[in-house]
Amino acid sequence: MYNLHEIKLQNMQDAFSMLYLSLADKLTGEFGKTEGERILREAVRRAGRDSGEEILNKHRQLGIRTNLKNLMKADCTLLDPRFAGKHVADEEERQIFEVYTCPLAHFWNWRGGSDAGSCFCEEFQRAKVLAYTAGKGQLNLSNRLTSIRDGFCLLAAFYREANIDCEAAAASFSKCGGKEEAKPEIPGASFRENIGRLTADLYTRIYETAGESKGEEGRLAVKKGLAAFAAEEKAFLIKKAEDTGKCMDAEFVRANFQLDADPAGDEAWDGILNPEAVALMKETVLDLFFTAQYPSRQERGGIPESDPKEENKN
Amino acid sequence: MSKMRTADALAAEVYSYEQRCMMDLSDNYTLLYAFIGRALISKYGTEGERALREGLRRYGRDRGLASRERHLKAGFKVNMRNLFSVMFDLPGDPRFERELQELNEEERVSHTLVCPMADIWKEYGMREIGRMYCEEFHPACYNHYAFDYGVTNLAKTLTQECDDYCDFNVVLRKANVPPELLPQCFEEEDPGYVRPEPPSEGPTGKEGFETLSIKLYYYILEAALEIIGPEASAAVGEGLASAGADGRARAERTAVNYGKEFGREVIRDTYPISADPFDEELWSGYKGGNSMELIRDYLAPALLV
Repeated sequence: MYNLHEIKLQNMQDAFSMLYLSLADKLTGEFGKTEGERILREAVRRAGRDSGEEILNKHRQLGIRTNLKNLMKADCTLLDPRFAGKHVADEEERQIFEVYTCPLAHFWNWRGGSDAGSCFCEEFQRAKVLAYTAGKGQLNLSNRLTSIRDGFCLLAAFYREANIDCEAAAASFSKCGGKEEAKPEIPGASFRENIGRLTADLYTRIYETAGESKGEEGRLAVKKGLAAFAAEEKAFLIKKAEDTGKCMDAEFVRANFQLDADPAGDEAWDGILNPEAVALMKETVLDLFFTAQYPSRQERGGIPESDPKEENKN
Repeated sequence: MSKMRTADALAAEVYSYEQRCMMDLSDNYTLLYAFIGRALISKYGTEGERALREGLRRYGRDRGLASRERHLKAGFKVNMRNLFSVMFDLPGDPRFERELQELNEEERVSHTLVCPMADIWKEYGMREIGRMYCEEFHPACYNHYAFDYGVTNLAKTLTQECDDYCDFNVVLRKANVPPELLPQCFEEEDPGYVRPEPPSEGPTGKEGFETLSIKLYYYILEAALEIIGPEASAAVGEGLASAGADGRARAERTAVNYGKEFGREVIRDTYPISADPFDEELWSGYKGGNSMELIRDYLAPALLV
């Protein structure tokens, strides 16, 4: 049984998986498997690169050593309690990680989206590691839960001192003489901020690559995918609100969905220079979620949300 | 030593002389790399490792390109199925044990359960140097074969202390290949294409390992000279001398175990590089940095009778 806080994280994670799959389905449906996946993979690579560069810049600004151990710590997806995995090696030059249960893979597999899921798994982490290590690292994904063959994901990343110059090594590895005192703690990752950023960026990258590759037809496919997502996510949020004794209003959406009502004031969209994509998200998804008011189950004559007197008994 | 002789003698009952020579060629190739690597790292530390890794990547790209050109010339598509099933640059080694999970044009997934290269690196206390080979050579070779659109995933290797098999997942996704290259890579993208019959004969062990040993050695030397400087020649030479002495000892064991007279013939059968005389054709394009002179001055005196 998950607590209410954990359920909120899960709702955001599932919204990400759902959005990605909706867009992927539309692209492969409209343009065929190869061409649809071509757009998708390129977009995922760009989003992975954005993520890696963003973490790299942040670590550099804070004086944090830019190595794989610290990159791994910045991964917010591990905060979802449905993730289960273990480190086989947790070192600055080497990270080996096995994942036994993954909510992304579970969602995609359950929805028949394993192939689209594989596109994400194969491209995102690799692009992220390459960007974070300025092209000098390696990411090996030998097993993945989105493949019917595999029972776990196996990720191994390598970033070797011998493959970078002395200056980069000093900024990366403890053994290379980086200052110990200049090693602040990595700020705790806020799940909502991180998943919000990833959602906004990946969606925009898909919009961008679809447009580059297929022009107006591509953007239209993304628009259709976004509309399909909006309808499904709205129903999902209503259901989740009911399941947790709430009604779906702006407050509930803010707590259970990763993007704010107004992209202009939402850090998730910082630096995303595609007003067309942002506007489309606002009018198709955000306005629908944040302006609508749906009656609670109690108001519709269902089970009451909770009895305040019950709380006093404790 | 007596234990080793017993094991070798037992192996002689299992393998023919020709098979034993193939395995010796393979082991000598594996150790040529490792001895040079050990000498460079021991002398130059991280700089030595840098040169070794760079040499491995150059070697991998050369070998990948050679495989691609061989396939295209013979009318095969450049894809994962062909990379791992036709026109190899080496004959098979009976000691390898692999578990193939998937082989199609886009993907080859396999586990290597027994790898003689990993075994011999471990036996000689050079597992970490072997690990560098796994980490750098495979992606450089396989990815470059596939026009650099391939992706090699090798998360586990028998040369890594925490692993008990190699976990290969090498992919060439159709969606990542530019449209203009698709007909060169995938059969269904080339209407009317008829797949040729694979040639029945591949290279001999000697020819295959000699070609690859020359390239591997040459690229490590080239990278060492560039990264460390001319003084790196001495360390490479030291590695060659160790490799030569070890190759000679292995040839002597094989001669004993198979009732042969130890001499140049056994050395020629078991050692991948012919140093007296050189096979000039194989060295074409790989003579820079006084590569042949180093072989003559360091490897040959330790190896030859």
